[in-house]
Amino acid sequence: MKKMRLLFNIGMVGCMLTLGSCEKQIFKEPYAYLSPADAFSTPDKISKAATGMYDQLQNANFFGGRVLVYADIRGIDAGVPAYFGDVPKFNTLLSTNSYVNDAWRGAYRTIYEVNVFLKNLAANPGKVSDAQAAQYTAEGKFIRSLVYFYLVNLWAQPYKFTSGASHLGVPLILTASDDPFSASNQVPRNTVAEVYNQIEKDLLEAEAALNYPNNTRAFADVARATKGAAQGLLMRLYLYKGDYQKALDYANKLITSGKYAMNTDGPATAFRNFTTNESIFSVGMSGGDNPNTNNALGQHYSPDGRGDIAISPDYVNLMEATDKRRTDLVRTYAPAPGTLWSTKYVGVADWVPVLRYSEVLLTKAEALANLNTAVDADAVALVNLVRSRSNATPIAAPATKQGLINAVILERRIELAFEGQGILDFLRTGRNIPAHATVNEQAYGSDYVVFPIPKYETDMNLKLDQNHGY
Amino acid sequence: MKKTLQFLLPLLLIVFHTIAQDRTISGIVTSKEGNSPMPGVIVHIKGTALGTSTDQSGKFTLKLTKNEVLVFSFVGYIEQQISTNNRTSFNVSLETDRRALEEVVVVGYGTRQIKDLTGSVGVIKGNKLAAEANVSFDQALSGKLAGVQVTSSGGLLGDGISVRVRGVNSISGSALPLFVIDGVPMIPEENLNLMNSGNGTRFNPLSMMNPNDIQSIDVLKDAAAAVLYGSRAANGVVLITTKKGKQGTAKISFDSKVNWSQATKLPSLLNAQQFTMINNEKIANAANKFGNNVIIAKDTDLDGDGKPDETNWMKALYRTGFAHDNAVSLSGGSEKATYYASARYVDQQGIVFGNQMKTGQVRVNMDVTPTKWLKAGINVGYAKTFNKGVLSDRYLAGVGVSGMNAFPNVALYDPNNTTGFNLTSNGLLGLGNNVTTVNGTKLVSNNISNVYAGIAMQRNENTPQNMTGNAYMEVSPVSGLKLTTKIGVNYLSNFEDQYSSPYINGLGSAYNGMVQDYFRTNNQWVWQNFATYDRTFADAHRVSLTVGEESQFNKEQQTFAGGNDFADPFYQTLIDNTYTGIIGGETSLWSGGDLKSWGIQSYFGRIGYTFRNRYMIEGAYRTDAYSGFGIDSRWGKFPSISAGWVVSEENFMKSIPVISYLKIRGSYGRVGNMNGIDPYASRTLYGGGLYASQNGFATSQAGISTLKWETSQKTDVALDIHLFKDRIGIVAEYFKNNINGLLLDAPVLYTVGIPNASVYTNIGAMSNNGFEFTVNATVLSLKNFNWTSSLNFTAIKNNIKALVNNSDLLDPNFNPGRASVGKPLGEYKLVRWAGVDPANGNSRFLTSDGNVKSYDPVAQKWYDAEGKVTTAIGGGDAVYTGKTGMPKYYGGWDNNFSYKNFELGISLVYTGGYYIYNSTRAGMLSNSFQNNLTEILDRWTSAGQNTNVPKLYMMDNTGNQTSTRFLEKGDFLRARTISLGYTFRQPVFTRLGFNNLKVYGQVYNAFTITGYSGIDPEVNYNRNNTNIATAVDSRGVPQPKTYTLGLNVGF
Repeated sequence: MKKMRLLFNIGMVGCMLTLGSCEKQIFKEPYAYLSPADAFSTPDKISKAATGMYDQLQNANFFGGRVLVYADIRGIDAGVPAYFGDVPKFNTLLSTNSYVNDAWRGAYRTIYEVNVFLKNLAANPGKVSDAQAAQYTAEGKFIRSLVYFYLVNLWAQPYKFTSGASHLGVPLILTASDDPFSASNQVPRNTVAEVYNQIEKDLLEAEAALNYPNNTRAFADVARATKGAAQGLLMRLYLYKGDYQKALDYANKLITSGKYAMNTDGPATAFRNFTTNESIFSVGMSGGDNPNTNNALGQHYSPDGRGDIAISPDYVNLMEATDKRRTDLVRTYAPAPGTLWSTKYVGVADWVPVLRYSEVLLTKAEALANLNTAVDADAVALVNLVRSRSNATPIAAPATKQGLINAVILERRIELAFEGQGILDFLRTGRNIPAHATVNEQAYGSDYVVFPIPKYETDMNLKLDQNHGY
Repeated sequence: MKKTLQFLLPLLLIVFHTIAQDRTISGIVTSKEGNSPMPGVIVHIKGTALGTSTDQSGKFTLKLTKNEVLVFSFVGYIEQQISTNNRTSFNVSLETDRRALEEVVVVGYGTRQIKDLTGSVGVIKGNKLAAEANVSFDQALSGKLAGVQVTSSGGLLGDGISVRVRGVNSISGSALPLFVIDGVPMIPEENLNLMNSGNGTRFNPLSMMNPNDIQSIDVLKDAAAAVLYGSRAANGVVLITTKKGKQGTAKISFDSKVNWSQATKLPSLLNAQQFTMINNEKIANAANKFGNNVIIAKDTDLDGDGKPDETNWMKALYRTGFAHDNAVSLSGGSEKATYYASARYVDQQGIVFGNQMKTGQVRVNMDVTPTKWLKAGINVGYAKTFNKGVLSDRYLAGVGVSGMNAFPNVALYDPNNTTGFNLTSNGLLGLGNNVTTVNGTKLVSNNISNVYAGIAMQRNENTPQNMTGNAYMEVSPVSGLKLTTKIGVNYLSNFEDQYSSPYINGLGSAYNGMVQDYFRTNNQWVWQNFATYDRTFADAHRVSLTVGEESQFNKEQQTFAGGNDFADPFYQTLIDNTYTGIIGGETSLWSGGDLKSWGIQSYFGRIGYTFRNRYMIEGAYRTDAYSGFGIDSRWGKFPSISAGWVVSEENFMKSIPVISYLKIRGSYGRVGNMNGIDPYASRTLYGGGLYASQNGFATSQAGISTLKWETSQKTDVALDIHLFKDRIGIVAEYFKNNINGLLLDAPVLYTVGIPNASVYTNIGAMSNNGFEFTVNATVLSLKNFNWTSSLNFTAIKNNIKALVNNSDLLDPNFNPGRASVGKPLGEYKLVRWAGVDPANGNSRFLTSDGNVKSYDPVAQKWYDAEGKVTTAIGGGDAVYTGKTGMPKYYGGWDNNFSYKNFELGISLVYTGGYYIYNSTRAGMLSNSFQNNLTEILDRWTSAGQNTNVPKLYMMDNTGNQTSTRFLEKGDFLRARTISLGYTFRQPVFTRLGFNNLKVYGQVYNAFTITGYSGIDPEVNYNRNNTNIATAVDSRGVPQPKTYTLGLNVGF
């Protein structure tokens, strides 16, 4: 109240002197916000703005975890959770679906934050050192690549769908628009090849500019982009393109870097302690990032949270009873007999895993299996390396090359389940998605294996073609 | 309650005393104008019911006991009171009553007599509000004024209301009018709750106003009336004037009432047996996915009484609410000072279990006139409320979702559970022997909470405080000139306190107990300085002039604190050392907040000229700057002009005696809107961008630096006619409102990527055209019986003229509700339902070009009319339905009957020409494992059956997808209040000093006539104040039907 009285007094005197000066008393600058010029005025502030790109990577509808969920519930191991409506159901999915709508929107929101950061950084030259500028730029490009990787693979048919990947991908937005209503914002979709090329270009730049993580891992060694993170994503990109040699090269770069290793005490460790040497890149989270969140992975997967996603018995039966991935990462829940849950995510503060070292080993195995005309013994050994860590019986060398490829992909399915690989592993390898739970088989290349472009977008941007069938 | 009854009893015993009469008087009554005798004039002894009426020759006789005061009254004439003073014969002449026209109405920065008015103002007097015993004043506004639509959005205490003056005049800004108390704008805040994004609990500060304090409510509808509040007048202005004391009086008045309330209607849900049958049928029909002979719905006996458990969740969650409301007011004054003071305490238990609201209110209004040229006053009101909220509407754990979905074949309580409630170890409703997962597929879509346990064990509370006050000084240096300075303050705060139990699924179970507290304060001051000059020259030329300046500043601070991982469930508030705050191995910082401010600077002027009370013209101008708009575009200019002609003053009209008064008036002007526009809306900003444990900045909004005022061009043409010596009064008005530069939080292409995918901009235009009609009539006026009636009707037509890129604007909560160019606001764009195929029970829809497609859930395939497999019905098949959620017409009809000391009031409201999307029904016919509406019993079961409910099929809700199947006509007629009162006029009460003594009973929402199948055709209007899809029924709480008994005592 005292403060108010003071305001009155100031107001009275001010207004009495001249009519106009009242405005100064009542028109205040924001207390909670900075102008873009202020946000880029010092090296310290610019460093905070760089962190802000990761804040936007946490987008609740995309890399806050939902994009992993969507890839998995459209695969075969995460059931057909009713919470997500038609998302896991393929042929009843509509272009007006709100989950798809929000995910698309969330992805481009993250991309905008990177683009606007790069633009503001360029507009304020000399404010930070060249090395700092290069570091921030590389981090931004890594984030942008990661988002485009999921965008293009969920909304467009896989790279191998047409020769030269000349089919439609997603629009590449690489600069922040100054005018939200400008006609120049109405862009058509780029081809899948163009999107992949852009991701590759950004990642190669990031790889060159970034450093490997410190040996003693801290938050930023896993939760921010590193040379290893860029290499890991390049490895996955080449695998998806079917460029096995490059996939192998990048897997080897990570292996020989000596920076990464699987946790020896079992597969659950990486999901409880988020900064072990096994994690190459994860989106960091804390319990306070959003206390009212409905979108945390732990909320979706854990029956102690919302428990939306029960996992499939078929998936659990892929593993022997002694397999630690079964004993440590799956549980049944008493009140609802027959319901199986993954315990990869148990709490609202769980990080979102993007790249783990076991993926590197299995990618190397898959590349070797494909490159070698015979059954590749190293590939078998790599699969067994992953299996033995979890106390699973090693596999015998399959009789044929195709048998080995299948064995690697099966191991991938077990090891990387619920980490956002689900449907993508079927599509990139040209396989149909088998019938599961209440869903019928979905043929490779059929219309509904890719998401619709939100109708909201196609209505407002006539240059944006809808996916066939929607 | 008991106290009230004891108080009443002795009074009732005294009522029937009789009085001796010993003196006879007589006289004649004539009319002053015609000097002719007046038959039927009521002559009664003041303060009693004793009296008579004049005969055919205007004569009367009456017996008196002593020197009493006689009252002469006749409809349309001014009442006369004459002291008898030992006289025995009287000649009285009565004068025609023009008071209705001399009554003043409040306009911006002053008052006007109705006869001088050129603008459009609707008035409700406080006594009319008092006549209807509502707990909150906004309930009583409903249906009272033409052009004003008031809807309550549900049956929870303290929930929001929507007030729309002449339609919806803004799309994304707030369409709520500006509320002004005693000349000071209120803080424009519609919901004080910050948690659960308005889907959990809500609290509307308007509910903190004491209706007993209100002298009058004036609604300014057109530009001429509203321009002096130009800055926010586009949605109309509601001026609330509180009571003042009267010179030479001293009064005390008590007002006491109790009420009981119940839901007007509850949904009809399946009982345990029907539930078992229906859900087992859902899975049996889906045998191709889940196997044969699967039984999922099974009996459970938790309490071991040998009988299967059964719960009627609606009966458990809804109850008979009870409230008591006691108020006292003191008023009076001397020649130089007047005062009014009041206090009130209300305690309400709502119709939903756990819902409660307690409010205490005080007000003191003082006005002092020490000398002829100086007047000053201080008016202060304060209210504090304690509100126990209940989660409802779309909130999954709330009464509407979990409460309705809950299985009826399980128990509410479990004697073996530590909490005593039927809860699983993860805090959901225990579903007993029901099988909820088959072949790894969960059959329950949304987790079902034990809502009763949740309400009993958790907390969603508000403790708002609201202080409104103003101090003014009026100096009158020369005759006709007044200089006024006035400072108004509004301080609004709320303590929002939420506790989530570790035994209940959700935040509590995830965080091992969680408390979240929000404290918010909102400080607003307004300083007005203005001069008015009003003088009549040569008995013919009246000139009035107003010039002034106003500054307004508002600052809001929100502070958040929380804690989780409590030492024990015993601790349910933030107490030192009782919680760790640890989640995921890290200690979380549970604190936060926000701080913002805005200001408005205004200058205004008004000039009026009236010639011989016959011709009047007025011009007004106001200019305002709002800090939220662009630096160079923040000033808005709002001029208006209006004129009136009192035709009945002309000589040629004197020959038409049936018309006692006729006035034609019209106005044209421009007003603005900024309500609901963020304080920094025009700026591009960076805000906090925390990444787990790292601090950061991220873009928080994109802004357009040229953002400016939304303006409304309002045209109003009106006719005021009084007929038969003012016995019938009619107001007919045509209005046209063209809104330009519509402020839209306009959707931007997602690929652009800006925060919220939207930006405030001024693209868009729409119009509201309409017609208002009001009739006030004294239908019958007999010696002991009086019947007055008031009817109002408003018809309105909206048309969207332009939007960003001319593309549809979608309601964020319900996409089929749209703003589309060339169409009325809120038109639904939906896929058309084509019924159930009688041959096989499949659901059918129409494609955009009208071809039938049917869906077979067994094969998961779509078929065309020829039975060939085809593509799915998609978003592209939706068509504009020509139906909107905005009413085409609405109004009210009040009737008041008085017979001797009895008074009967019947107040009806009606609304029509709109459609409700019944989303509750769509969700409650779900094929998931949950309870359903009894409508599902009509499902298709055999070939040839004609029904509207497709064949059941577990987990496949394609037939329930959004379509015209759930679009229903909303038209309704509702008996808002029916009240019966008795006033004690026996002389003994006068002698005892009673000025007023009245008992009454009232039923609120007595009955509703509607074809709408949902629980309430008014439910869920404008939830969260969206202005596009306003009529979506989404699991709201029905309005209460309330029975009130009251006592009114005045001394």
